[in-house]
Amino acid sequence: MSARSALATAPWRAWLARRLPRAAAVRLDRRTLFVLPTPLGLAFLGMAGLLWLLGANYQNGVVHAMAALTAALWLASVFHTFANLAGLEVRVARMGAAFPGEPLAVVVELSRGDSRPRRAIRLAFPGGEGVRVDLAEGQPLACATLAVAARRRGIRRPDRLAVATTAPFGLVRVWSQVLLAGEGLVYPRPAAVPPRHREGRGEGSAGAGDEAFAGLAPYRPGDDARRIAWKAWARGAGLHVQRFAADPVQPTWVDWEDHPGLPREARLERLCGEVLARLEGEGAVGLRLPGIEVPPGVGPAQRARLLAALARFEAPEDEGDG
Amino acid sequence: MAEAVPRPAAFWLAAAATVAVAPFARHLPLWAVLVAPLAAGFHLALFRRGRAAGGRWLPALALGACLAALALEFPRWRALEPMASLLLAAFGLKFLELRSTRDAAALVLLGFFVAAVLPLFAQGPAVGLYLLAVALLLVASLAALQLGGGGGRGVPLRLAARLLVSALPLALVLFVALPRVGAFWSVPSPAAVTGMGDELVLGEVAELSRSAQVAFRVRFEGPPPPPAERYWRGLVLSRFDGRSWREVSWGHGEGVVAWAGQEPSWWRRDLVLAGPPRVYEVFLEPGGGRHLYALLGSRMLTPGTGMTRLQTAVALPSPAGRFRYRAEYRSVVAFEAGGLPDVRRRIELALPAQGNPRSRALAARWRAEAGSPEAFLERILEHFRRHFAYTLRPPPLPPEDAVDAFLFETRRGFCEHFAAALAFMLRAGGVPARVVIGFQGGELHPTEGYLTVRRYDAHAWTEAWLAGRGWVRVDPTAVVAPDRLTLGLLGLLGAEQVLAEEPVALERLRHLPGIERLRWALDTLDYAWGRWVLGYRGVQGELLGRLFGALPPRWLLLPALAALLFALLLAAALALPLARARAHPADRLFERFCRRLARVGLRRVKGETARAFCRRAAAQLPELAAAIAAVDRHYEAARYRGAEASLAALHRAVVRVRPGGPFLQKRLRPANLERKKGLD
Repeated sequence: MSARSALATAPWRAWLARRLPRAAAVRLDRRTLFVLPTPLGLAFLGMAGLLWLLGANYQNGVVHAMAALTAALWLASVFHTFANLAGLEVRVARMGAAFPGEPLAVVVELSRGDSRPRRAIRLAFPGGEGVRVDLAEGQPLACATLAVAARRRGIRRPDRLAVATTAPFGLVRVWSQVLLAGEGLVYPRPAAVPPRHREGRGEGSAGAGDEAFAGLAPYRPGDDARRIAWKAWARGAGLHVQRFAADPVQPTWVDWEDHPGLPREARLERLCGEVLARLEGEGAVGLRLPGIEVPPGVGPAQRARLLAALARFEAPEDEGDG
Repeated sequence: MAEAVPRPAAFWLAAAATVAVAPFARHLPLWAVLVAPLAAGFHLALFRRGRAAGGRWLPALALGACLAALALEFPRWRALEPMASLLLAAFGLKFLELRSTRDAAALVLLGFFVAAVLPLFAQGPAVGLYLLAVALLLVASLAALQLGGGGGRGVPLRLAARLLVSALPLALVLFVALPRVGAFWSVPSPAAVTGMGDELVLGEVAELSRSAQVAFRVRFEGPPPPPAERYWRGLVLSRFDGRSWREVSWGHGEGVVAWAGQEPSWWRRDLVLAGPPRVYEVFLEPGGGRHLYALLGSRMLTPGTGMTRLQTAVALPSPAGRFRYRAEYRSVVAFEAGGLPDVRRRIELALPAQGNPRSRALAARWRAEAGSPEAFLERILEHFRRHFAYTLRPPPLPPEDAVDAFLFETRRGFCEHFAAALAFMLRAGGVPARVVIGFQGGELHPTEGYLTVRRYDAHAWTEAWLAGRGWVRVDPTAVVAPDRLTLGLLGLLGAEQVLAEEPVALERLRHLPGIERLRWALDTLDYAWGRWVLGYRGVQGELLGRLFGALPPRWLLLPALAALLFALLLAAALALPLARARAHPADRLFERFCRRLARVGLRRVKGETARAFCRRAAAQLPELAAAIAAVDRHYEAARYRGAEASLAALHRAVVRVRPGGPFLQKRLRPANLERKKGLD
């Protein structure tokens, strides 16, 4: 691995950035794959040399033949190892979201147009744990979940991903360093919320059973599935949820304008803290940012919507470690 | 690399180790051979119970035991056998320390080395198969290390077989083109196998060697000499001390040896030759001592070899193991006919002061009765013809006065007895004489035309120096048993008697037609192996010269590189699937979608993702936005989520995208498109 860190110098990175710029998907082929012997491969070649020496010293043709065979095995193993990666297409299927300092999930997908089995492929982001992927014969694609570090709020692009294999013989290492398109969200770091903001909740609480029906509202992801108006759906009117009088008519709004004077990031961190605090309650929570309004809602989907809006707001992009 | 060794890898390693050491059982002490299988079995057994291989004390103890056994077994260390035993023991003991994949990789490398040591002991074609088998199993171990515990049982072996097949053409090119150099330093050789002795003691060896092992093979350029002329001279024995005949050492000086490419002045004086020179090539098999064999009247062509004034071939340094040399021979009209120098004459006539009185008396009487040396010689041969019999199991002779005992009492023997007795009689009668040992005859391959000379073709004959004629070959065996020359020993006595030492030799079954063909096929294989693999160093220059002789030496690199390139491409073709992978069906549909949009000038930019292109297209063609969005959605699902149903949906979505106005729309009705689906 020290050889690789030696390669991670600035000229190498610059060359790599030209050779393999960020792309939606990278097809691994002659242009994108690199080959180097492994330590075992070097030892193997050294052994072939020793056998040649043995053959010369003993003037023994069979030992010479054995030396030629071992050298040929090494050379041929280059092609076999290359074939283990060649033709694969790598892309990021999706990325998760995380708070700064947390690992951000990256689902990497390997697909191919043939059906040969692919074995022991290692995927790793710099500094991260590697993941082994195998593609059985005929299996069209395989996914692996890796993680990059979520750093600052905004949009997180994947780091340069190392795709490598030494299989099937361990004598050479074929690898590529691909920079893939993808979009992960890094939420603002939630700031501690002063108590008065915790109190500002919508009045009324959802009691069960005694509410009066108040009409239908279009279904939004995150709405309580038990309240879906199936009859309306059966009529072909689309998905609606029933609204009851006991529902919080007065949703709470978390508003950008509530915190004048703070710099943008600090403001967002404050808003984030508030959103999280309010979501712990039972009322619907909405968000107002300059030019953006997230209507009130409840549940984990609403939480994701709110946090995503905060993450995307005038989002700085973290291009990742190219 | 510090991971635990997967169990399949340990299994394949154990198999490889067992196969690798097994053939050493014929050459090394059994305990050294058994270390590896036992230790590997031990490792596997412990592995099953989920424990690491032996503790710290076990390897140390086993190493101590092995070293002690080595010290007991071998008095001296600087020989091949103790070193090979040490290598085998170390290889085996490593199994007791097999903890990580790094240890396993070290074992694989050691295994290759162990396998490559076997050819120092044995070199038959079977060794080639052995090396391939060991390489296969070792590579399978490497594959099993990479794959870990998963995969099918036979997968590592299949992968290894594929690697081996793709590597063989490359190996061939490397073998042919890699430079062969001389030894860098002197190395210990295997203990010498007894071959033809350097001396001849009448009656000491009661029986002739009856091994069917090949001594050497000869390839003639042109027709081979008739059987009766195939006398392969090995040593000329002139010094007789009453018991044994020995060589007189004349050294390798310029006055004694005509080295290849030289023609010293004595050469023309000694030999009167006739006829055109005919080239032959000898492939000497190992185990026959360090002698070279040549026909009378030969001149050596291979550098480093030469012919002595005694008409025997020598090489400097003397060959160990296999050796190949070329020579040309012509018919000899006269050999040292001009007279013998006094020193030589005295040596060729010398007899001890006493011993064998009856033979001496007989020789003196017959010489006196015969008018000439020729008549004297005839008289002795006539005596042999009448009263002597050829046998491979002669009665034992006493150490004292052995010639008397043979000539007057037992009167039965083989070539050595007749040759030594005749030489004694001739010297006793004042005719210079000596014994020549070597081989006589050989078997001609029915189709390939080369001659195979086996150990049982070993022969001894006499040379007498006659005034005016020089040295004349006299073979008393031919007089006693003329068939020995024309039919060979096997023809004369039958396989039963000759091959007593080799109960399973194919030569025993040679009367069966199928077996005879098989025997020759195996012999051809052996010959080809010897010529192309074992003795390749000598053939290499000649072969490359014949193939690319017209090229100047510096251009020789070109065909070598071309061959290497070709082999590399072949290996690549064998490793990578030949057929180009077909594009994903979703990609093909998307391509079609792109072609449709290209008609109205919307082209996908290089590097633009499918999604980005769709968004751009939808923005430019708002009337098709819904259809384009459907293409995007179904393409995503079909291409990346592997959804089969989405493929059909994608197809429907793509045909709905009809940019370019009503004219095109009319032509591309969905019904037509459905029918054309297969053509797209």
